[in-house]
Formats: sequence, C-alpha cells, structure tokens
Amino acid sequence: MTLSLNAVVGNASLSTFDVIVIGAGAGGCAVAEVLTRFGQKVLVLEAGPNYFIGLDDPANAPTSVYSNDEVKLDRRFMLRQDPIVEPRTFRASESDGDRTFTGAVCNIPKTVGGAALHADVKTPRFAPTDFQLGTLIGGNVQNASFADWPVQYDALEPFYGHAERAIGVQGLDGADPFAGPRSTPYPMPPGVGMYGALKVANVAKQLGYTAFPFPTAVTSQPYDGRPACNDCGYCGDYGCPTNAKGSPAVTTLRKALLTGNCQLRPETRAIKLLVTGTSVTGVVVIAPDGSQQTLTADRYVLAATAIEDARLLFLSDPAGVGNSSGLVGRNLMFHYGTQAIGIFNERLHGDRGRSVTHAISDFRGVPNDPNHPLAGILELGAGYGPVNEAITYVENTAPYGARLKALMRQSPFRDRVASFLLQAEDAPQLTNRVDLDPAVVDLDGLPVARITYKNHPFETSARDFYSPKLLDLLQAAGAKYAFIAPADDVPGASHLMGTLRMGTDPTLSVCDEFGQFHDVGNLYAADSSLWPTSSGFNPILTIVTMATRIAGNMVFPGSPEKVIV
Amino acid sequence: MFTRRVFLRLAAASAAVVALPGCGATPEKAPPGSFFTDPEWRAMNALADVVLPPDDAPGGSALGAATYIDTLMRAFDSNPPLIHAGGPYSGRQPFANSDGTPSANFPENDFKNFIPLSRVADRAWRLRILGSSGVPGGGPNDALLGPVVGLRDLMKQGLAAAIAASKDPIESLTNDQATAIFAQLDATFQKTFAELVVEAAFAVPEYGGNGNLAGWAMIHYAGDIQPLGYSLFDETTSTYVERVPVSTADPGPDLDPMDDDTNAQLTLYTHLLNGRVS
Repeated sequence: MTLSLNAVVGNASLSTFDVIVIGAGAGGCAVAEVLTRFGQKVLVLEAGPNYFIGLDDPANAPTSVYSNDEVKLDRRFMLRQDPIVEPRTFRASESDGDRTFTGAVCNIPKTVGGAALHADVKTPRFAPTDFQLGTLIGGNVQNASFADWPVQYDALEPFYGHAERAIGVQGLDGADPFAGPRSTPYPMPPGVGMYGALKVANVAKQLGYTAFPFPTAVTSQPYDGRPACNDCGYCGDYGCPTNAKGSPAVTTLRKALLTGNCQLRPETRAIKLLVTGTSVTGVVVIAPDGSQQTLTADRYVLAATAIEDARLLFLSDPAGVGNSSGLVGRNLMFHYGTQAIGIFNERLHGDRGRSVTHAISDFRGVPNDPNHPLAGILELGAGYGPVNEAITYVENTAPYGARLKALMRQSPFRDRVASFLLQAEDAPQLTNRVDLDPAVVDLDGLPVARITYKNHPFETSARDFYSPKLLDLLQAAGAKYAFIAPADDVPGASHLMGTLRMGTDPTLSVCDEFGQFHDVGNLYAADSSLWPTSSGFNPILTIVTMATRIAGNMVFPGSPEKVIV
Repeated sequence: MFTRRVFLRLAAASAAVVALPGCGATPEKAPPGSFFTDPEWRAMNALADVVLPPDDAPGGSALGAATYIDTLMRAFDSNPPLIHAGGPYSGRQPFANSDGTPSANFPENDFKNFIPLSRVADRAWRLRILGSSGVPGGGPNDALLGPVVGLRDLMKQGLAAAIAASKDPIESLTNDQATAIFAQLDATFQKTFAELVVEAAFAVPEYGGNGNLAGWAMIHYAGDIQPLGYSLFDETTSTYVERVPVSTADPGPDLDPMDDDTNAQLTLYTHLLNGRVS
C-alpha cells in the first residue's frame, strides 16, 4: 500500500449512507466507530489530507509518514491549516472594527485524526462539579453565561471508561485526589516519567500539592495492536511515527473502517449544508480536485471543531442553521493557559519523553471558595526541539551571531526548561463568538471564521492568584530562573469549546444533551462545541466520551449505554 | 509545551552580537540549476556565517544553509515538491530487539522520499515561495491585504542589497564587516534569512542542511531517534528499560554550562517579566 493523501479509505463501494460525519477528529471518529459497529453506513468527510497508509488494512497495522521532523510538522504546516490560504481573523470586541489580525488564530491540525493527532493526548476526566457550574457559581459571575451541563458525571462515568479503553489510556488509579469516582481501572499503567516533571513532582508534596502521572492516551505496553511508546520526544505537536499515541485515526476510525460500513473521504471540504424545513437534505463539498459535489444521508453529524462547526452553519445560512436561539457561534471558550517557565542550571533533557508526564490538580480550585478560585489542571511539561529553540532565540533574544550559537550550545530553553501550563476554566461569554469575516476569504473564496474574544476577569484573576504559587513550585524544584510567560495577544489555544451550547431549553441552547439540534431534527454535533462550560481539564477524553454517548443514543434512543464495551 | 510566544512583548534590541574575525565562507560557485547566481551564492554563504559564525564547530555556511535555502526555493522543480520530507524513519537508528536492546536491523531512509502536497498545501507553498505574482490568481486576499511577497523575491532582494552594500565581495570581508552589512538589511529579510539558516543547521539533513549531522553534534542533540527511541519496553519482562536517562539525571559533566553572558541575559528577561532569580 502506498501513501495517498486523498484516496477514499474503507469501503469505497458504499454509495448510500445513513450518516455523514463532518470531521475525522476525536468526536467524529468516535461517532463513526459506534454507528458502524451497529451496522450504520457512515461517510466520514475530512477537510485535511490523510497521512496514514493502510488504516483499513485488516492484516497489517497502519503506518504513516509522521516522523521526528520539526521542519515539516512544526514549521511547514503539514498538519495545521496554512494561514496564507486558510487564515482566520481576530478582534477582541466589536468595537475594534472588522478585525485586528489576520492569520493563524487557534490553528490546530486539519487532517485525518484531527487535533488529537498532534496532541500528546492528555486524557483526564472532568470532575463531577465541572458539570454544575451554572448552579454552583453562575449567579456570582457578572457578564458570564455559566450553565449546568444537561448530563452529569454519573451518567457519563461508564462512557468515560469506554473511551479510556477505546483509545488506550495509561494512568494510576486513585492518584489524583480531586478526580471523580471510577468504576473501571485505567487500561494501562503509567509509562516512564520525565526527569524534569519528576523533580517538580518530588517537591510538590512539601508545598502541599499532589503530583500524579498524567492520564494519557499513549501506550505504556503493547495495546490493541499498537506498540509501547519508546519516548522519542516528538509527542506534543507531532504525529506519532509508531502509533503509540492513541490518535483517533489508529483507534476509533480504524475500527470503523474495518467493519466494512465506513467510508472515509480525505481532502473533502464541507462548505454548505442544504436545509429544507427542519431537515438537512445534503452537504455540498469541495472534492480533492476542486470540484463541488452534493452528498446525502439520513442524518448529519458536525465534528469539525467549535470554530469550523459554527463557520459551516453560517456558510450555509447567513442567519446560521439551527439558530432560533441566536446562540450559534456564541460562548466560544478556550482554556486560559498560564505558562510558567523554569530554567535550571542542570540539563533536564526534556527532549526525551512524552512532553508532559505528570500533573497537579490542586489548582483546579473549589467553586465559591475565594481561597481556591477555579482554574485547572497543571501540566508539568518540558521544552521543545532544537529548531524551535533556535527560532525562539532568533525572534527574541539573539537574532544572529556568536551569542545565538552560544545559546544553542548551552540550551537554556530546550535542555534546561521545566514548563508549567495551567489549563484554566474560561468563563463563557455571549460576546465571545465565531462568525464570518465580512471580507477575508480562503483559497476557495469562502469567508473565513472570525474570532471575537476577550478574557473575563474570572480567568484573569485566577491567573493572578495562582501565578505566584507556580513560581514557588518552580523555585522549590530548583529553577534558577522562574517567570510567567506573557499572555497571548491573539488566541493560540488548541482547546476550542462552546459555539453550539447544549441544554434542555431551546431558547437558551442550540442542541440537546445528545447533540441533536433543537431546530433541525437530523443534524447533530459531537465535539466540544456542545459544552456549556470548559472545565479545567484537557478535552479529548470528554469529547470521545460525549461522542460515544451521542452515537449510542442515535443507535439506541434512550439507552445509549448499550454501546459501551 | 513551552511556546515561542514567551518573549513576544520583549524588545530584541538588547541582543548582543559578538563579532568574530574572518568568517571564512567558501567562495564557491552556485551548484548547477541553482536559483541563485554565483555572487548571490557566495553572499548567502557569508551571511549564513553571520547568523551562525564558525568557531571550533561549523558555521551556517558549512552547515549547509545555502543548499537548504536553494532547495526550498526550487521545491517545485521536483515532484513531489521538496516541502515535507517523508517518514516514518530516516535509517539513522535501528529497530529495537524484543528485549529492548538496539538491533542490527536498520530501516530504509523514508525521509528522502518527499510527501505529495494536498491541493490546499500546494497553493499555499507556491504562494509562499513564488509570491502572488508567481501564482495564477494570486493570494486569496491580495485585494484586501496586499500581494504575498514570495521567499524567492525576498531572498533575491536581500542578497542584492547585501552585495550592493559593499565595494568588496562579502565573502572577502571579515565577519565583523559582514555582520555590519547584515544589520543594515531589511528587517524582514534579516529575520527570514536567520530563521532559514537555523532551520538548516538543526533540521533533519534531508532538507539540505545539517551536513554530517554537525548541527546536532554541536548542541549535544541525538537527532531523530525512531524506531529505537529512548525508553524501550522489554516484552519478555513487561518492564521499561531506559536506554539513556529519561527519568533521571544525565551522568557526566555538562559540556556547555550556561556562561556569564547567558546568565546575564536570563536575569534581565526574568526581571522584565517580574519573575524570580534564585
């Protein structure tokens, strides 16, 4: 088998479909896995290319062209959408005019496997109270739109276990004192910890914190036909050359393709939903050769990220498909990242390992406790590869000359770095939203997504509260230099949530708890666009969990748990 | 992950450039088929040594910066275009045995087989290299944002300005003199050129730079490590073996500890960011 970026994968003979899934990421692939297992004929459309070989080969494990290569994967947009031809625009508020920036905004991968493919696939569960913030704090935060989720942790718990088994999660039962109850163990034990993270973890207890192995969808032993991770260091921001990472492509999507009930069409861009009355009757796509086609099915599932889902609804109807609530595109959320950098005298060799191997949940906080404001999980991470290190110096500290060379040899930003990232709860706001830019277009002449986004004091005050504690921790671990990185001027977040809020009241939400649009009966969403709040934990596992439950309800209305394995 | 946005708000003006005597760029001709003329090729090598001066390790020129840049400029002369190297393995590391030890079995070099570009990526990279004027229809937002200036034009114009700035060939100047010329060039050219030089120096060598892996050797970096990896799962015992330290400190001395200049620079930036110095 050879590489083809856009060849049809799976059962190419299928010509009629029960369901069309738009987006081959964590949510879309989980939906496809469930539906095809129960005989539904599913067409998965992915706007990006397919860099895998043999995803549908039952006899051999798939391979790919992912590799230990910083240039293609981080400098040359192999995975991420290229801002020259697919920009997004940004403004902090409507008063800024049409836009203040055009280019890479929240630029996550667009490829078979989705954003989870390039992540290091950290997979914590949300905590039980994360689903109740409307009740717990909603009335206390002005100009925010906190709401309870229409589904709670207890109902999701069995699906969490399913998701952990489906993508292969390593972790240590009982290690996170703030985690919700579990009915099933982690499928794999923790892998090798990284030196820098362990240095921090070892001193965390002295400061009253509990560091624990980060639950991660990376193999720590052979699992489901995939080899154990060998800690090559090219994890976060890279595709995995060995399939040790639980990319949706090699886990859920591969399972779907092997049923014979699934067809994957890469490089096929959905550009318009055709709607008649309260039903979608087709989806217009741009095929790999640039031609337009109309594809049909009984039901349609959006799973192309919170930004691209909303964009497609506005491309289909200037008022927004399914938008009687006026909420399509609104309540866009990211995790508000606070990055603390520690530079040590000794070399920490952070280029060996899985990028992030440990976490601390003490900074997630407690609702309504001013001494523990809500923020999120703290990732104990490392540096990055030498090309990116050199670019950092060129852009910021020593643009050229002997000093640049000296910095590369001494490597303060690669070999001596321990970096923290606090993934904090981002207050939902009606004014933070996605719509279409009035003038900027992509290479096909279609309006691009415009992001209007401004932080709420809810999250900025949490950053102010916890930042000194992060510096305390770095210094206690031995960092010679410790500082907080400036916040982004233009959103660069990878965790994209909101825009199609789910709820029980059609006037206050776009979809119901099973992702079904209130206004459009055969249209669903199955990614983090549905979420009323962002929580303070990495989203991938909850995306897979929710998508599994949504697909389960499509197959067994009222009894979605029947799909759990 | 540590992002490059850390210092975005800091002025880079304080960066010190230490001039060295005699940059020693080789006055060779451009290779057959090069996008660059012989004078441009020589200037490019001289300026690459301004970005990464030679000392007891190779400079930007010897690390292959000119070849790297020329390969990118001519990427679309090949099919597939030379933009994204292949994978998953380079053949520089072996497979592991079942007990985790390195085997004598090395994979083929897949990196040298470049990957085709998608329809979208093809358009993007033609625009990035050739500019709006070199691509039928130009960029999608030229009318609103102005035409895309291609790397080819940026390189040609920057090198022409460098050549014009000196009565003598740049390659005959000292590194101090070449550095003074580089510092006067267009800021966009400076930044882009420097980024390409460091990409060349520290990237996988299939892109044309990092000759003899000397860039990685200089910075004590093992390079691409698959399929061997650093931690090897021994299937016979179901335990991990760390082939080199992952969870523990490296043994032996630090070959390049942070010097006074680096400490001074980090102290400055830490204070600018209201951080802490221990």
